[in-house]
Amino acid sequence: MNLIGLLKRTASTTASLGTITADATRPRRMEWYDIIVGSEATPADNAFLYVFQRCTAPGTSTALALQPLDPADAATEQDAGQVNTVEPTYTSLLIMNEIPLNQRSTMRWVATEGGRIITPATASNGMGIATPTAAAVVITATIYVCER
Amino acid sequence: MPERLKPIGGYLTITEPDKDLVERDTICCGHCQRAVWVKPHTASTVYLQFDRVRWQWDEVPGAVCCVCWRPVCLTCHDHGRCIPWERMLDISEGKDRLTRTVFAGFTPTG
Repeated sequence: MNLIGLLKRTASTTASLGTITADATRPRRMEWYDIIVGSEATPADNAFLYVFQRCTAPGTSTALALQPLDPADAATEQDAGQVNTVEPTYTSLLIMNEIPLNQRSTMRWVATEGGRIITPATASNGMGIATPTAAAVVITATIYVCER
Repeated sequence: MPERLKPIGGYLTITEPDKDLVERDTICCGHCQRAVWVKPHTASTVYLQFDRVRWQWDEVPGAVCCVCWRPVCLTCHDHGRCIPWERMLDISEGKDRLTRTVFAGFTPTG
């Protein structure tokens, strides 16, 4: 089942953009295969660093509904959130992607069939997006995932 | 390069107004699945490593695990153990299944 998540917040160096994690009671594997990040704010020359890191707990955030690309699909079991107020429990050293970016720029990463980042079917495990270098402007991330 | 020798990974683009399009290939680390940026035209043998302090990219030699013969990120290379990502998923999911099975229906008393 292919899903899309749109994460948005005013960037913070101490609070994550958001997370997509497996359900705590009905966990399913998830493959991340398409990521788009950027800022919708007025173009300016500010440096951002987007860090995609595995996490074992999603922290506290505003719940977000992942939308199925095929409306005929059943409801997803995955949990998604944005605008973290309590940070996810990131797993040390398991940084899946690190993207330095100008505020004016947009980055898109697409995985090949065998290169997708897979998060386990383990309760509340998934991946979060942190911005340790950021300016206080609105940033967005569009994430395409496939639930197994 | 023959199809069977191509590392599996991904492709990224960075677009910025008034600047040329930046395109990079990525390879998937065979142990942790990290998307490692690679230098173009090096057959994925040269990795691009981002230095947060200097805010610039460094070109460093790539790494391959001599047990599973998959390209690996430098963190896994330094770790020195071969645990393919499929095995890591099995370990993680196995622990979780055991925990949920043991505590299924458990009601704390007192």
